[in-house]
Amino acid sequence: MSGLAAQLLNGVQYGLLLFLISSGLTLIFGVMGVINLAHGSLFMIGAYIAFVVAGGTGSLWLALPAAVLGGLALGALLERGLFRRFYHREHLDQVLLTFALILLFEEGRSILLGNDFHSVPVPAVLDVAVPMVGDFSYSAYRLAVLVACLGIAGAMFLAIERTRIGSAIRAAAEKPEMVDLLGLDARRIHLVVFAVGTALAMLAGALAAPLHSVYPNMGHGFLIICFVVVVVGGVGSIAGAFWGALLIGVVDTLSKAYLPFAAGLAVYVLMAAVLLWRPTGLFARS
Amino acid sequence: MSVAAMEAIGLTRRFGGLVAVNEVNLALHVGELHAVIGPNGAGKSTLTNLLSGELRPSAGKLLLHGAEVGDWPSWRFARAGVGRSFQRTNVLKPMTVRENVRLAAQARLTPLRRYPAVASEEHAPSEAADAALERVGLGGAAHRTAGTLSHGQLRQLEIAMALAAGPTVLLLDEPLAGMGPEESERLALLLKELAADHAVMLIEHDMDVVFAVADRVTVMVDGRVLENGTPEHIRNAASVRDAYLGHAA
Amino acid sequence: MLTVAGRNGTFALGAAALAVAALPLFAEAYYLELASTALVLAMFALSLQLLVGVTGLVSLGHAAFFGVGAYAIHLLGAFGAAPSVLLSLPAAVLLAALAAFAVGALALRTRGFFFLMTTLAFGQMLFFVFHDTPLGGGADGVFVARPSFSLFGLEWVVSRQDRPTVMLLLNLGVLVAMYAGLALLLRTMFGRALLGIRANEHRMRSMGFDTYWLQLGAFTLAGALAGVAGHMWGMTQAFVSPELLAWHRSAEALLMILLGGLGALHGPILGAFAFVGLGDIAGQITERQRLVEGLVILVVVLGLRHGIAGIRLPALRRLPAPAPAAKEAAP
Repeated sequence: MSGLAAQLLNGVQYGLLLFLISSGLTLIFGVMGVINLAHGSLFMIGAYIAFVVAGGTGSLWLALPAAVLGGLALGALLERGLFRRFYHREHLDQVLLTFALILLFEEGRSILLGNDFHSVPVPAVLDVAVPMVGDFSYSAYRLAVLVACLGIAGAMFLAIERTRIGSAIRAAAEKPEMVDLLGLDARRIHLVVFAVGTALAMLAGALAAPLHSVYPNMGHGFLIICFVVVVVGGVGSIAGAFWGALLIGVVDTLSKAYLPFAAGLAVYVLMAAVLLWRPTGLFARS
Repeated sequence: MSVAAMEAIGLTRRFGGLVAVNEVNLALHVGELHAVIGPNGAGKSTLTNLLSGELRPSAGKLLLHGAEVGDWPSWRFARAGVGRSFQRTNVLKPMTVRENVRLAAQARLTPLRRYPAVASEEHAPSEAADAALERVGLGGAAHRTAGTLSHGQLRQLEIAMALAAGPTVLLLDEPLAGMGPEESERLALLLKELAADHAVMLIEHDMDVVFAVADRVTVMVDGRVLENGTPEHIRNAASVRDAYLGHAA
Repeated sequence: MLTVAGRNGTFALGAAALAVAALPLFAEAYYLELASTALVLAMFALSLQLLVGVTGLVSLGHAAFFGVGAYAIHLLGAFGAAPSVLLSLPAAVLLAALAAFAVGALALRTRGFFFLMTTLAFGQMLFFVFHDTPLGGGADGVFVARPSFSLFGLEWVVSRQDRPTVMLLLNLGVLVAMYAGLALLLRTMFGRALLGIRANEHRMRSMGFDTYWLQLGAFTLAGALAGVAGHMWGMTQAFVSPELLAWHRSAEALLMILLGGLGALHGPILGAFAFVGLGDIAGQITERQRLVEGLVILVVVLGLRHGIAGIRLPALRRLPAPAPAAKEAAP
């Protein structure tokens, strides 16, 4: 029983991490119509930042702001320098541009830090098991990640519902032509969305580093799972990404724990079922 | 009168809170040119999209030769003999004019006859395509790339594409808009001619054209049918004059 | 719109094919094998062109069908000695076509960005099938017995020295046949209908084309052709691994298409040779081939918009353009 509870919590925590990555993916697509295959590499960079900063200073706490600030800067740079020219280009061009970025990011990582696997220690304060119900206890760090991700998700919903730039982004994601109609500053919206999306992916990487360790090409698996999240969750909406991520996180974790023969396949079967049943996604407004 | 080629009964389409087409009754008969007029936003284009399967009705019935077709996808309408033109020109721009029309013509063949044939050979769809092009007066531009046509020529191409498949029902959404006066007159005559053996629905803003060619006129306002009858009847209907013709005059 | 090379272009392509066929007269085995690799990748990219350049569908899962075609040889190996190529090739085509039909039937319920993501995800699923289940023979790959040239008990045994030459000529023959078949397909009304979908899918539907089944037909056919390419890869290398199905191979095939030229049927063939050639040169200069590959892509997407097939001599570019349409009526 406590085993199942732990797996469920693991699934929720993993799903929330997926939400941080896929919310940026879906917003960047919704607002700018651009496909960023390198989004998984940004996650990888965040994890390596955690490895370097935590290794250098002995503290993961410094790594988190470093990942966020680095993400904002890198996102702004990419948007201004490259992506801006590609919003109206064909999918083929976008795919290849971002594929090139993957190659360059991975090669840069290899040149700077090599190709080894690394583990990142959990901060000492959180390296304990928290007693839950009865004899069931759960990793304090996983719990902290879960709470932090929930907090970020809550902050994102608030920002989108309550702030000017947030409502502008929502309008832009739902109807891109609204931006011009409302006289909004499209350039600024694009910059903010891209920078925030990048920062979220890199923060997710930094948070995940102690749990998943740090290794070359680690972004690929996460990228593809996040694609499944977006397809299952539905088109261009934050809420769709949220529920989709939770669902995929739980299904993936439970299937790996209890259906080892189906290991990696369960989420794809789920995606196939969703495509048959509701091709626009489970949580999309019809 | 015989069974209508196409008939809408209480046809309704909602977009969220907006009712774009509201309980419309309409019957199109072979041998009749049926004009649908009304101010902008009256729901005329939505009606065309419902009658051609581009949109699904929210309520009501749509009959094609007496059979219920409301849940058909658009391609089945075309195969069952419903040809349409689009208000905003909608052609295959990188292809030649002739190829646009030929694809339209072959769409009604059975798959086994449709797909294996080699495109450059002479066969039936090509003849149908060339005939349709001649009929709308585009024969001379057959080998031009559709994307290079003038606005008026694109309107002609739209009609040729609707004609090429040999439809029984023709839905024409402002086919004359943006044409020069000469071409416009020529095509109005063509529409009249087509109405002899087709059921034609014509959406048109130019009242002179409507009253010159229509056998029957339906006036739509705010998604509803305001009046329906012969041109003579519509011209004299007080409600129409108030609601619509008054604005136009 | 996608074009097929005219008389002069076909003549040039034929001359290039003869030059490749003549390689064994003077080149060492290394270059014959390199050319074989380029020929197989050219088949693969050409099969993807049927989706991208013809039908207008950008798939990121195409490598899965390439891999399924290659693994067909391994799966046939379970029945005993090396199968005849007359058996293994149709088996590869059939398996790849079945996989493509299943994936396409689901993925084509989505469009654009979502089509990309779904094809990528299903491709990854097939990757896992061969990576993690006993079906594939291990995550690191497995040696396969080369399909033999045998028919009704007669067998032509190819010696080790002759093998690079034989494989080169066989691969060349398959590529030429595939190109000719696709060129012919584009002349049929089926091919024209696919081009029509690329130009304006919505209009094709309203003209009476059930575009879903047409696209699924193209997707299945493209998958089957990728299976041919995969089979030839497995037969040439005598080794298959899950990496053949990995999505970066799909992206590289897209790169070959863009590198060679999106607008011409033969573009991917040029692109594949350029890709393999550049890779070989880069490999001799540096170990960091991905760096070179990434930079080449950046140059192509930022600058060389029409690929190799689109390069024109400056003098030709200055020829008068066709007269613009007369400006008659304004809307």
